[in-house]
Amino acid sequence: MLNPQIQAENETMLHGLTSDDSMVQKTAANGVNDYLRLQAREDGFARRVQPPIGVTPTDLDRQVDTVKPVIVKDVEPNTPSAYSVPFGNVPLNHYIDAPRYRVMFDRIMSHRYIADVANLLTYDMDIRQIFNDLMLKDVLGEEDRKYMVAVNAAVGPQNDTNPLTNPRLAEIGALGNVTVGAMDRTTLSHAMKGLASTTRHLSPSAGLINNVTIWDVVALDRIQIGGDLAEDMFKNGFAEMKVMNLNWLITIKTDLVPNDVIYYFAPPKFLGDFYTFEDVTVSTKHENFLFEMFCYEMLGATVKNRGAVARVQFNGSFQDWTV
Amino acid sequence: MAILTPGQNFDHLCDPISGYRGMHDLQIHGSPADLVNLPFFKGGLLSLNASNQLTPGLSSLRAMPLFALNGTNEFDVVSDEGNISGGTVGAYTGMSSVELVTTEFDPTATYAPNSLLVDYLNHGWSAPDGLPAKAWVTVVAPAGGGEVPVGENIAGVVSQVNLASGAQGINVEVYNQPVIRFWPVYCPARA
Repeated sequence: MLNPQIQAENETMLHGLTSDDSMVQKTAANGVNDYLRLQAREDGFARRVQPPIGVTPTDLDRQVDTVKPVIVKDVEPNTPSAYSVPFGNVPLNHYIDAPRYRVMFDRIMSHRYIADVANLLTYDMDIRQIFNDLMLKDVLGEEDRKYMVAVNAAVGPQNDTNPLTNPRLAEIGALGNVTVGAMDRTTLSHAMKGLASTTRHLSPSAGLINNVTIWDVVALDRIQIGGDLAEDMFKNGFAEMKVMNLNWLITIKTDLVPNDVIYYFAPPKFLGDFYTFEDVTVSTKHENFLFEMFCYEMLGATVKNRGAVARVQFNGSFQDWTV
Repeated sequence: MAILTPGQNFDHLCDPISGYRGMHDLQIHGSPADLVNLPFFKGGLLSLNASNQLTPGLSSLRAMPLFALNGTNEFDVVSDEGNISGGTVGAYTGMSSVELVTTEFDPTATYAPNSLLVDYLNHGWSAPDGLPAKAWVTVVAPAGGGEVPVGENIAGVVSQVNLASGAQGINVEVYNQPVIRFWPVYCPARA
């Protein structure tokens, strides 16, 4: 039997859209209960690695060669090292300058979902809210996919010790993508050295791991991680917490973060950018008996600092960070 | 750091001057086949390859013509190193109910009303022309009896042209871009 309350809400929602203004926009809302879920979904992890900052048109920088929205950012300059001189010497000159880069924007959107309102009224769940929730997660999933493309480009090829084929090694003096062997206290500690081994000497503040590999952490025994933590994780599983002074972010997106892999990220101010110009917005339209909705956003994000991210795979042979 | 230089937004055009239906246009979105070796400009003739990617020219004699809404030199298609933006292009199809203006055509050809447009890559392209030229259209003469010529996949039919002497039928847009007007069609080649 149909749930009268939900049915009424569906009717209210649908009939409410018959106002003179045929376009109704709202920020995506959370989902609702009362239906069978078939798969787990999650919000985006990229936004947890690099918290988004909302920008407005005044933040955009005009470019003479494109009308695409762009923000130009300055990069911390390098300076030549100081040196010792005998008395009577004067300093060498170095011009004051610093590099810049562009943060470029594009749009991510969901499919457009359409239905005859008569069909929508027969659901015993608030189907519009559910689709809102699913569309939002789909958009955030695409954010994560694109973010990891940039991350994987930044860490470079795995175990590649040739600076000609591994630009990260040439640029900052260390590999960014290594295998270290099976997970234990020693390899976990070695993994933490990845960012510090570069010429930029950063420390990781977040680790990204999938919901399968995290159980390898739980499997570490009291000799490796201490009695209290081993007991707590054995009883309660791994709740997101700080271990090794690292915020552990656990994702179910095993296609983006494979098994046996942990990504390490420096704090956001060292890592790059995440700007939302239009945050996720749901557009709905009701015309006669047809209802349609989709969601979209406009964002620009970068993983600009190669030295702020590293990838460790906990299998294979041991590869040191430097050569 | 790899830094890109985009084209001016009005250098290359793919404008639906008639038939535009806004949010309900018939479009297709996909990844460019090869950003480095097979670049193309907005307005270029594309088709799907076997990997669902958009590639310059018509990939077979029955390929659906596609007309690029975005070029591979645009920031929201390909971005500077480290950026996450880009990755896909959009295109009108040979079945889209629009009249288009494009800058991507063979400038040596002469265009008349009802001229049949075909893939320049299969019809006169040579390596010295440069890679962006791969996405051009050009004209093909009808067969002896006036029918569609054998072995030609027709991508469009020329609309109204510039009748001025020496213009070869090529119109000039507001910023002096040479353009042709045409209707996209789908007419696979006959044996």
